[in-house]
Amino acid sequence: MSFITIEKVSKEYATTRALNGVDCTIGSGEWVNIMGPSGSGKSTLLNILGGLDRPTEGIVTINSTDINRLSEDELARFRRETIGFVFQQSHLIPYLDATENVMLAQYFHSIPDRGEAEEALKRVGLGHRLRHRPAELSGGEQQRVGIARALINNPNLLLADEPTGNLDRSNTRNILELLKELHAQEKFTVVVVTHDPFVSQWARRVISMEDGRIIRDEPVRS
Amino acid sequence: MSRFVLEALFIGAKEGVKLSFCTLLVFSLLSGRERLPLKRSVIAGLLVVFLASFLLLTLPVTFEMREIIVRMIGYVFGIFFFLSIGALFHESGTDIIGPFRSVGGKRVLQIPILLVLTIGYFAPDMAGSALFIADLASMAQAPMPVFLASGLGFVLFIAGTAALGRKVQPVFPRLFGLPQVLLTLALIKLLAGGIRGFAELTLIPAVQAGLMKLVHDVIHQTFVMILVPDHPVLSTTTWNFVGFLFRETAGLWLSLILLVTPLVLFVIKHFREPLRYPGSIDRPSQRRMFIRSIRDQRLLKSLPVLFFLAVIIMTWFSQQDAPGVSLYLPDPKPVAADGDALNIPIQSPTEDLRDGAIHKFSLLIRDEQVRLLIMKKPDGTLTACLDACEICPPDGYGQSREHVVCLYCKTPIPFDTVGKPGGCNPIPLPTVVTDKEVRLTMKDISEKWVLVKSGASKTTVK
Ligand SMILES: Nc1ncnc2c1ncn2[C@@H]1O[C@H](COP(=O)(O)OP(=O)(O)OP(=O)(O)O)[C@@H](O)[C@H]1O
Ligand SMILES: [Mg+2]
Repeated sequence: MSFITIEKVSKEYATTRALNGVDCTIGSGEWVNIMGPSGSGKSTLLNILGGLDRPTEGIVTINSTDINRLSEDELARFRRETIGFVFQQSHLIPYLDATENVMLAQYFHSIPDRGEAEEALKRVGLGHRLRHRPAELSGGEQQRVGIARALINNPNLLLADEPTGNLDRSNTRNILELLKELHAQEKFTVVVVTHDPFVSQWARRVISMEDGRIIRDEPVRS
Repeated sequence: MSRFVLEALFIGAKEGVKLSFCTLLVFSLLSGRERLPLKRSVIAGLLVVFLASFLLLTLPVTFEMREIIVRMIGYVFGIFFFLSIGALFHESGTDIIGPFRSVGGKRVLQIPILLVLTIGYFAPDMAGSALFIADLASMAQAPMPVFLASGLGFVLFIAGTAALGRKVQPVFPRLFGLPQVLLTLALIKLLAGGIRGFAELTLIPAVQAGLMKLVHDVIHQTFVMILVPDHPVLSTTTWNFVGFLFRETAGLWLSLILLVTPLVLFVIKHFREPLRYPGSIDRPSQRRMFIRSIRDQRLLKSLPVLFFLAVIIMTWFSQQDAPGVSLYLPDPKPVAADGDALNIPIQSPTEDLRDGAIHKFSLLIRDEQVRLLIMKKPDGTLTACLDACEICPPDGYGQSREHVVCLYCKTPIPFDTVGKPGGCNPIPLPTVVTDKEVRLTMKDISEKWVLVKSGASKTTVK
């Protein structure tokens, strides 16, 4: 059984139709990239997958749960326990250091555990930056903190919207190599939204969108 | 509306709220189809209680029966309190029922136990309240409105509490396990177990008196049996020291400690209990979630306990009359001996020795004033003592409820133990009680008075 099932999902805004009948399934442990031009509905789809937004029509099932049927409380709990998010901006809290930023995610999930947070930062190569605040970290380092934070609660699904959008080539490569390594260890499912073809090298499958529809869905030749 | 009708309405309402809330609380433990027989057992118990209370109204009820009912309420509080403490400790990991565990799980036993507990819990209050309402009815000009008012209050408040309770019932299972329910039942009994209408809402003064007597007796017996050496000087010192322990405030504190300590110990133990992780946990985030859920659970389940502690500590001292202020101090009535015989009439135009108050008499022995104390003990007998003890200066005693209180060391001494030798007890006199009089001899009185006077040792101690 597939891990994610998207059935006839549409999203309408007052003036635009951001998604127009999207159908798709993603298996457990897959790494999928979503590509397409600006305004094609990639972020909208990702937000719906993450339960940050609700579709106007259609059904989204994750891990056998129809997430549109969940109440706000249940959805929040589901997000907390199942999904990790990485965004283009790392959205770190500026007055907390790297460890505390990770601990904050633990706190909202259950209880903070400093040792575990530090361990997670070491795994993303920031063992020497534990006490640094976001302003004292480079863009790549900030994004690593963001990844440590997204994965600290062992999610089954990692959703990333332009995770390397602010990074240069070598930093992009480092971040994606890190994600690949963690993905191999933890076997979570990855959905990455990007318009950068370079990023597709790390995916097994690429879904292309245009005008709120899927126009192509193909495996990546490696 | 007459005062009686109003009071009857209040009593009915109070019993209704208690009954309804307690039943909801118990039912929250007994949800689910498989526990239906247990629920039925509770309902059967309630029916028995109703029937018994109505039957009681048709019987001639003696004063002793009423006293028994009042005592039973206190005992029921004690039983539920100790059951809850046992259950609390059992649940937090100390196995106290051991081999009985498998027996306790048997439905065949649970049903009768629940039936007995239900009857035991509700019967004394309902019976006591029913009797009190009957009293009100007999005092009122028209009895019917009094009965109707109590019935109305009872039914309305059962319904009202049930309706409100249904709204909050969903949170009950998170707050109340079996121990918490038992403790809450005990607390309700303590706070609302009074059955004398407006005059006595709570059971706290009665429980305080009971506990203080216990504390007093334990200390007294311990010192009498083991610790007090027979040496006159040492003995006096010790008893003076013990007098401090007997003081009313000390008793109050000790009895509070008696109630509160097991609960505080439980809370500490409860939060310190090490976590045992289920084998299915392999990820750190699952481990954190487990810790969190246990912590939440522990906190929620200790809330009823913390609430109990807060209520007890807040009410404990506010319930007590200021000691010493309300002491009853009758003037000694001069009496004279007829040769060696001193006969004091039980009934005279001005007083009756059996009225429950202390009665003082004074007489001259070799130009010295000697005071006597005569009173009725709870067992109904009359007892005569010197108005002095062996260890304090002979200031004598006053009366506070069912205690005599030494005016010198402020030790309250329950009527029960008056006449026992030793300590700061009034020194008992050999007495013959006839139909008409209390007979004493001057020889006995002066012999015992020497004991008081042998205080040559006392002056050196002080
Ligand atoms: N809150 C909103 N209100 C109205 N229209 C919106 C809203 N959010 C998105 N849209 C519209 O929906 C369409 C899809 O937007 P979306 O953000 O999903 O595009 P995208 O593929 O992520 O583009 P980009 O690559 O630029 O991030 C766009 O036309 C956008 O203007
Ligand atoms: Mg976007």
